[in-house]
Amino acid sequence: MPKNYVDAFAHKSIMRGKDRAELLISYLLCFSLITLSLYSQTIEIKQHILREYIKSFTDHYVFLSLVATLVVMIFHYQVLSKTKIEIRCRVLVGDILSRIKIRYVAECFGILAAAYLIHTYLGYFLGVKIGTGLYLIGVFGAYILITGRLVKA
Amino acid sequence: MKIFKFFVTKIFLRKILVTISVFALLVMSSYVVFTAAISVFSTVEGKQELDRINRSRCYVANLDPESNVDIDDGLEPLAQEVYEYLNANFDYAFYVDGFVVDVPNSSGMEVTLGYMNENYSQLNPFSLASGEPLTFEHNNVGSDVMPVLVGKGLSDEHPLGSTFNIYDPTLERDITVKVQGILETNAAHSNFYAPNSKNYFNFSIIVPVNKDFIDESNLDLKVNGLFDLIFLDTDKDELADLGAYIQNKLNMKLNFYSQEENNGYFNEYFVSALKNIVMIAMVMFLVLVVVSVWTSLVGLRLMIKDFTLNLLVGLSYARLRKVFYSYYSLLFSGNLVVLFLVAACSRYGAWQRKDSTFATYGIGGLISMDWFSLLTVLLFNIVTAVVIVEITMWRIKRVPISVGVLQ
Repeated sequence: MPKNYVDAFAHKSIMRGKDRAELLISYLLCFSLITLSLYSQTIEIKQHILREYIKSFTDHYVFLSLVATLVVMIFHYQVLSKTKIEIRCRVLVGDILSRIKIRYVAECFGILAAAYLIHTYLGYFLGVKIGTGLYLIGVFGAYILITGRLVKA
Repeated sequence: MKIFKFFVTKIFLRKILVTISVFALLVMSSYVVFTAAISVFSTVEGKQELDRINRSRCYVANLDPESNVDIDDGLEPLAQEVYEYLNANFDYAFYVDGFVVDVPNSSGMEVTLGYMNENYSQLNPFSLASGEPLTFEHNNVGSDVMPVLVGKGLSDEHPLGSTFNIYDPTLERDITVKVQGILETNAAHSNFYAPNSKNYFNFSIIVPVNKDFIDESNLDLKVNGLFDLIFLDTDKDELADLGAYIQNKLNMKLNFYSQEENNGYFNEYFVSALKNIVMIAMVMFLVLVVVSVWTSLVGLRLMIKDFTLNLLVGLSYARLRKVFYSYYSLLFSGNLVVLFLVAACSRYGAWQRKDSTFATYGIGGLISMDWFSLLTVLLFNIVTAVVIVEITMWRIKRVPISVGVLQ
């Protein structure tokens, strides 16, 4: 029954509610850099020194958002370090490592999808072109898959 | 010192990802503060200069953006009539620059000429490093030697008291000039409608003009001079007549703005913009500090075993706090070096491009405005360090030593 599956999934996951929230916020931080940069390009700013100041950041939003992905990398790294012992214990009591990995990867992708939906909705609301930020999905997907491989007991 | 080295090499650098992330976040937050500080300082400096010009009963001329300007040689006698009218009815301060002259120099920079009249030299004088201010009684006809001021960059090849020839593009002939004064290093004028943007005069020659000079000069100087005239002690009615006269003779529309109108313009375009810049910078800085604190706490979670082990074997909390402050001081020094390099590159860029209006001299290539901004960044960095270290120490103290060691 679906309810049981969801419960089972959430209970068996190696990520806590706090971790999920941190991951979601980290994703949103990176995506919002893009949204805000593109939004500020659409609004008309009268004063040219303010315009120049904002442009000095928003012109390089691709680079800045990629630097911001360091935060997500740190998150994945610390989750793996933190849960080494927990994974070992889970394997000891009968869970299968590959299933733990799949659960972790699926959960991360789920949170990524939620973050991207929020970003798209916010972008649509602010009048920003939809489809920006796909490159970030590629980067985050790569992080998730790489760290998924690194999950070990 | 030994403890500090041990911590840095054996503990902090083991988690290199955290160190790099914290460093990157610090650089980003400092850059935000640095660029905001530069905007504020350069606008404030420019405004101080413009307050000297923007006085009571002074009106500043401005070419209407929708006015066409046809520089046709046939206009020359008409332009001359405009100046006769000006000389008869107004007291005005005249200043134009940007005219290029061929004066070879060891830096290979393009030299520009600035022309100012006596009223302007009293309204907005240049500060001199040495020599005397300009005199304006020279006679252009014949072989009179004209006193000039030269910028720092030209003072080695043309020292105080030396004479040399230049081809003046507005008189369209050679003139002999004598160096009467040397401008102070990085002497600058701000653009009246953009006080944050400055032209530097390190590679400029300032030529005094009087009535005779303007009479003899070509259309270029006469017309360009009209665009930025400053009228001393007059009122709207007299200027309205002047505006109509100029429109009639030269088919150009000039607007004249009073002190109140100029102040209104500054408040609308610059004061409110600066407030917004400071606000945006503060918001971005706070977000980045929060993320830095989070990253540092994540790093702490990964390193807690090492810290509590050391606390167990006798390291005091006070010593540990000192280690943290030293570590963050190291990061901030690196951060300041990065910012210094960024600023130096942009200042040096003007020299590389041979752009004489932006070429500046300074210690390490940075001018005083840059150093003040770096100082501001340092203060913000100190605040960030205190916040991060105190939160980290609070977090460490919350963990019982035995729990930390066994983790």
